[in-house]
Amino acid sequence: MIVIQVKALYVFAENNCLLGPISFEIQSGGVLIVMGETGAGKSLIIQAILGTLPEPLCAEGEIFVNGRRIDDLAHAERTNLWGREIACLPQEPWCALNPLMASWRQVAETYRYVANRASRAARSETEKRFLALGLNSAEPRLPGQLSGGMAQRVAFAAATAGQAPILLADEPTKGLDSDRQARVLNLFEHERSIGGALLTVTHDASVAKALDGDIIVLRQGQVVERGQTENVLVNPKADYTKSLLAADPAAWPKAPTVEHGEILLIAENIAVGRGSQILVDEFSLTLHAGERVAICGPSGIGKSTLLDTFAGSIKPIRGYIKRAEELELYSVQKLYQDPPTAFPKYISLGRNLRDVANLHRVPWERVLAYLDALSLHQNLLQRRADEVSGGELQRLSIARALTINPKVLLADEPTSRLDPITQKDTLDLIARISSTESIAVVLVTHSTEIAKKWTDNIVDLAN
Amino acid sequence: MAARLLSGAQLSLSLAVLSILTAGIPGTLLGILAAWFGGLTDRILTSFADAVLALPGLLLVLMLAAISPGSWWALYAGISLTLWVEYFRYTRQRARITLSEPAIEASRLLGLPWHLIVLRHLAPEIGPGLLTVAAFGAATAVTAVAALGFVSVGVRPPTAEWGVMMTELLPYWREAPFLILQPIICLVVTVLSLHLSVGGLRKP
Repeated sequence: MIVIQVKALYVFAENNCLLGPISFEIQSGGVLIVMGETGAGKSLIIQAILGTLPEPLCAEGEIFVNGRRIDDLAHAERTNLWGREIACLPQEPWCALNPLMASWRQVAETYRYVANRASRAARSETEKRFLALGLNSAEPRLPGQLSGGMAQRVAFAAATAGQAPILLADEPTKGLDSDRQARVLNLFEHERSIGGALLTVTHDASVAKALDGDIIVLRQGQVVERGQTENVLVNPKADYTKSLLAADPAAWPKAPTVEHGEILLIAENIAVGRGSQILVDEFSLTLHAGERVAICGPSGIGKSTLLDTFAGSIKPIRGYIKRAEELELYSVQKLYQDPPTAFPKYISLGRNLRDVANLHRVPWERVLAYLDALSLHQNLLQRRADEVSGGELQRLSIARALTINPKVLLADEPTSRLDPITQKDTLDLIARISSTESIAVVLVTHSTEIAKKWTDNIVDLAN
Repeated sequence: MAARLLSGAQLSLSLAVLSILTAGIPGTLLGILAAWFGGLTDRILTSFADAVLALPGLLLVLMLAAISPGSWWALYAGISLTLWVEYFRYTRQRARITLSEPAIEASRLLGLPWHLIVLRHLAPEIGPGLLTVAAFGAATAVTAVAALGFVSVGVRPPTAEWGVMMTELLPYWREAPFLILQPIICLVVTVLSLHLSVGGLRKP
């Protein structure tokens, strides 16, 4: 039985076509994966189906849910479908929970008002659901008191409590470590086994591999390739699909190892933490010039705190960090997880780079040469941080660091917000710069896969 | 009458503008100082601001006026002393958020000096909001001057001041209500336009 059918869907921004034409149908128990990099228009499909496209955008085409055409319904009638016919699991679902409401209440609310159960029935349904999802201890707790994985299951319970046959999931695994990723995929499998149809948007090839169904590869709003997952993923036809799959860390070639130079930084048995809480204890590391070290472990284990300690922003609670004498005051630089937050919000990027260059008496030509070497166009300098793509901005922050000849580069998940192709390019670039300029790099990542491919020297904080 | 009204406007508005300067500049600077250094500096400054806030503004002015009855400077000092807290609280709050962003750590690692951090990061962040605080502060100052004049603690007659004029015209309100209405309308229009100007400032 066809649960959802989309015929020749377009999305326009005034006269610009952002997406389309795209047509697909999903059977009951079926899966459709829409894959593509950021800006390909993946989320637009979900918004067009829900009817939540932001103001200047409008959709054209026909959308059928259970044989009924829904795209020409009035807005109020479409909102009636939400939760009952179409459920949506938002990106980073823990942000979608009410932080002031006990977990079970948020789920019971859906049973009560979306599924129209009596309040006692809603309560008992919620209890059953929590038990099934392994959340029995979470019921009275507020979302802030739950672990990330638990909060996500609560959000999932709330989204699916209305028993909608269609589940739309927008980047359901974004920012999750591999353990939690597997749990989300398990939930999806369960949804399918009871006859739900799943439409998921992702840029992660490993997610597509784990879910078996149809796949559409999207680039700049155009369908590049489509078919069964096993065909497309094993035997891609389009060049774009090939590069997308090659960007999956599992498929990366191993980066070459390099010879180490002199010692730059020694950490001896340090304990680090925030306030009086110790996160990492008895940690030792010797950093040589040109060396690449990866620190990995699940979120919240103290990776970033460790990095801040190396940067000198916080002091170790115990132990000491020794810097080599030739290390100057500003020889340790940092790359950030979210590149826009590492630049001033209200002034142009050029102004920021000029400030740095003037301060350290670096000729402006040299800054431009670095930009050129990182294939960044000079036009970017007139823009502000929020007007530049994440990948370009991360390269720009590498260029900014290079301006002042750093010896140590501390990279805090520098690519976790970038799409896979950009992620691979950026990490390759960092590795290349590290060997040519003999800069020591400490990479913090939650992906052991990336760490393994990027360096031999891995510190796993989980063990 | 018109001349007296205009003269009153001159007095109220110049007091308001002056108090924006003398309350706004130290309030903003202290706010940045508290957010920047945190710790003990922050605690001392915040408790001081809370202490001032705990005292009703008019009471503080009344106390100062009691020391030097009818003088212009006591009125002015009292208004400034109560208004700086608003600037301080606003600036400290916003600056604390901005200063905890990665961009600031990046700037420090790059060696950018403090004045560039204030100029490039803090000023554009808190500037527009400060204008709003200033407009509300001016409105508060205008009301305070009139209120004090009305209860005969602020400016003394024969100086033309809206509050003082209201007191003077109060006995005649039955015979000639439009007389007392004039300073009232002036006051309402001034305060209202200051408040509405905030809406205009908020627009990009």
